Amino acid sequence: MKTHPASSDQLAPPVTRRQSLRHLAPWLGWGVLGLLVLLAALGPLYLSAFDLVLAFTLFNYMTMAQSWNLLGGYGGQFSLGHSLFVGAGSYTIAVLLLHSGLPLLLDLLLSGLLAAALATLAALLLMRLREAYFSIGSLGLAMAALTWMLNWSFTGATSGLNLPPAATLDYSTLYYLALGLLVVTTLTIVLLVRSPFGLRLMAIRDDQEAAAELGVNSFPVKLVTFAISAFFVGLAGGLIALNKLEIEPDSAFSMNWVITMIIITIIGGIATSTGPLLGAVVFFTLQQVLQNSQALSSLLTGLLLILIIRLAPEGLWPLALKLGRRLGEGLLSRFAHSKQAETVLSAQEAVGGRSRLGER
Amino acid sequence: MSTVSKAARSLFLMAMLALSMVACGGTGGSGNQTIVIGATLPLTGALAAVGVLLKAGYQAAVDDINAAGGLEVNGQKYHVNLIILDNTSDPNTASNQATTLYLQDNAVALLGPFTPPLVIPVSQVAERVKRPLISTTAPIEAWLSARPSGWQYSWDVFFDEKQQTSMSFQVANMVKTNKRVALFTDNEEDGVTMGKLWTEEAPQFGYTIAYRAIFPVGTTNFSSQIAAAKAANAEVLIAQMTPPDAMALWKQMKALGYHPIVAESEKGSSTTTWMQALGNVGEGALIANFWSRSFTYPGSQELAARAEKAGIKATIEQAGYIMGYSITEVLFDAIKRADSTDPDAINRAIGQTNKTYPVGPIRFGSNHADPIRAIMLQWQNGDTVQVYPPVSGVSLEAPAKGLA
Amino acid sequence: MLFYHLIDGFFLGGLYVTIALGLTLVFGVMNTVNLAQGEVLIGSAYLTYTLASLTHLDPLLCLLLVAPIMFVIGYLVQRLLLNPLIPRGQETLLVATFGLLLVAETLFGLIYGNNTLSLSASYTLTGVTIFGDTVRTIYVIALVAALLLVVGTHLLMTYLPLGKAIRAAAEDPGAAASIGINVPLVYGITFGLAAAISAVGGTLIGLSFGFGPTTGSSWLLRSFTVIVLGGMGSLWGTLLGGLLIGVLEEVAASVVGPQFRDLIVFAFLVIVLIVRPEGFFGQRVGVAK
Repeated sequence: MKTHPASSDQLAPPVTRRQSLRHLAPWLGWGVLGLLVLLAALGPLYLSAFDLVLAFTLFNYMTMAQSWNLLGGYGGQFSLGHSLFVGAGSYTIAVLLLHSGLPLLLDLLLSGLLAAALATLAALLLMRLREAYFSIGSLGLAMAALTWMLNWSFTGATSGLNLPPAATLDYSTLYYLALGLLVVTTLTIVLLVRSPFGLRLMAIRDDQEAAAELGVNSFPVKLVTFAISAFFVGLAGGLIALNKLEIEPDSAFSMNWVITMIIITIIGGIATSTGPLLGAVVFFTLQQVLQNSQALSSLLTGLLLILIIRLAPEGLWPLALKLGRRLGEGLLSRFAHSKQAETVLSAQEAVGGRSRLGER
Repeated sequence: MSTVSKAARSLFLMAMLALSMVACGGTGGSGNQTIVIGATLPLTGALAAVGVLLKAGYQAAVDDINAAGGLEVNGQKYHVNLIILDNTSDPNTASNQATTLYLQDNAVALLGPFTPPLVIPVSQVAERVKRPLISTTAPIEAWLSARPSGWQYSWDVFFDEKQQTSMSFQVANMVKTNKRVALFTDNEEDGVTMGKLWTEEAPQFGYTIAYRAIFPVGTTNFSSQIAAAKAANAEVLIAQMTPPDAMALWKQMKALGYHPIVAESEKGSSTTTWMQALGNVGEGALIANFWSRSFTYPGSQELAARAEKAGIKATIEQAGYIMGYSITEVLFDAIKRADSTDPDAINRAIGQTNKTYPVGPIRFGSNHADPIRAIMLQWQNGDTVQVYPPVSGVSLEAPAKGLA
Repeated sequence: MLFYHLIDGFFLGGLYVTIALGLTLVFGVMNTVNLAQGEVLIGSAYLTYTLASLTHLDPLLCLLLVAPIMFVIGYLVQRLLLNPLIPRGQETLLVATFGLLLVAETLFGLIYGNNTLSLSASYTLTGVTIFGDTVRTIYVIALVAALLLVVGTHLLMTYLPLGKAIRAAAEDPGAAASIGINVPLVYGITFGLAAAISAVGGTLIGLSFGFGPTTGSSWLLRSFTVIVLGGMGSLWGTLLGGLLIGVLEEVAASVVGPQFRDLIVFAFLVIVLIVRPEGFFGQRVGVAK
């Protein structure tokens, strides 16, 4: 999709009916969004304890996938090492709760900050590497961290740490924390990728040399992106520990975390901000429905991944948009035979949609 | 940004929420006269071999009570609905599934998985939702240390590991060795705890730890460690490691010509996979257990026969089945005693358990653990036989036949 | 004792060469990081297991059939799944091979169960005395196999028309196509070849150690370390890298303790990548610099 993401209004001839529709649409959109946030915010009023736990897990999946997507999708740095930040977040909050008298929310914030600090360090080491070399390097770093934690007696080596029972939060508090984190993460990332910073990031992803010629210094951009991505993943890791109350290296630093982030992002749509949300719903639903048959669940996940990458590599969300556009075109062409509809809808894709995976 | 697509997005988000609601929508497991009991077990993955034994044991006990008309509580017969989920040997999954079983399926109590990495997260869930869990896991020490303030709703039945470690030396005493020990443990919590205990107990029996190897799970090449054990002239070998690692160690000891007189393979030789993968090399390996054919506790022989019918042939695997059956009965007895389906009442009743079950007498201490007595088995002719305490007609084979 | 670690690590390194060679070939020619390499290895071990238990033949002899089967499987995977993805970039291939990993792991579990299996043969239980130290016979066999595979692949690449076509396709697919080379076919054959080579590695794993449905990933990590050290895509680099990692592991295990073995290996992987991403020993297959 090579359409320039210019404002569609300047191109639109005054077709009164459609324009009035367009004036109405943002209000409708914001209204629905507001209603949705309100619905989610009132969750504990009508959701059972179990629903709250499920929502907690789903929100964390969304947060983590969203954060991975910032680096892996918009940044083009396909990290296989993000489990490191989940583990770092989990362990930081556990250590702080056990050894410091700081308030819980501050502990949580610090767990994100430590993950970000580790990411900065990792970025200094790995950012020179491109493509597969970066992927393997990040994987190596995460594995090195895991094996280190297996032997570090301060954090209980293989036994890990148990959070003090006093740190037990009720399910609605956990729900709100996860929801809050998800909203903050999504807003931050949506604003970030639409800012000049985000444009620089994507320019570097698409062609680092060309971006450099235009005066974009790739290193600080990548570094900051890596740190932000890790910050939110670290916070999610902290929340996971607060829910589980017990952490040990093999599960806190499990490769499964990064695998989940990647699967969700790919299924939903890499380098789109809605993709990871949609992907999380699909993945999580699959997981829940098939929890009596783990083999079938991972088999279907694998097949889904292969099918998507083979047939619709841009993911489900862009696919849905494309189908929606066809539908919309069909509907709009009944009102007016102009090309405008296409421009309007494709503009969205050009901002969010990634050219690389789909079209290179 | 295009407004139409923004509207589409919002609509989509709504659909998404609706979808997750459908996914979340709990059906609620408990019907009118049904009582739900749950278990999250490793039925696939690294620990699957033992997980399936417990599953069969749990299921058999539930089938029995349902065949007898159900569980009687407060004058009413309840059908017992056992829900078992496969946690693929993954602690995160085990934790999530325990939450599902308690909160969605409304399980009044859970039966446990085993090994500390799986039991501890599940125990934490039990404490959080304040409903009981009975599990069977080694070692008790590691499980207790996970919650210094004490477990309130979690209960554990397993070896008295101090007695178990002393037993290793008592068994070695049955034959003549130079009393020099090579100790191989992985760095998992059970390996660490047990390794420490063996090291502490050895001097009391006149044994020296001549060589000590600690390594991560998944280690494949043991040549250097074997060479060191050989150089240390250790005639007693004690190993606590996962089945794949232990099998690799045994094969390599054979290949490199290390012939310990006594060779104990804790954890590693706990299922028939040991003999299937190793063939004759596995012969003569020792392993501690809580049950053998010589036991005559009420119902234990009948259960062994039932296990055999269900395809669980080796004695050591029947032990897992009988343990599973026994702790399920402990739970049933507690529910009957509580005469209520209230988790708190059941939890209190579990604490009053004092009865002999097919696996042996079970009675919990104030720390919620019941250390039961360990016996020593040896792999002989493809099955395990009890060698300690000695029973008539069976003698300890030494040097370990497979490695000689 | 240190000498023993050197010797043992050296022979063990031979095994590492056989497991990493397929990975390096696929990366060198098609710029594809095959995340399913571990499953290619373990899948071969399962195939050998089936064949050996059906025919009671020696597992290494079974390779005569297993390697061609793996070749066909590899060829089909490349032609049907991976070739169409190449224009879309490396991440697409990562995801696709990762999907294969998930599917294969599950299938292994469904077909063979979750227990650890191992291949048996008399030479897995014997040792050979070398310079006064005993080394497992199977490691010696592995080292010989590694040398044969590396030299064989080198000869193929250098002298046979197929090898020349592979190198041409690796260097510049566009140019290769313009001089009449069927690049998709060459890619298919290369992946098939890599899978067949990995069949040797997988069978050696089955003989030396044990394997289960999920053991593949640890061998993938080890293979990564080997090829990163040797230079990703380099044949001779893989040989040297494998031997060096074998020695490093054993020496590190004896100096700082076996529990730190993996830590040192992974730290080494990262350091090598940072210091010298192109590896220390070689150049990519077909890339003449």
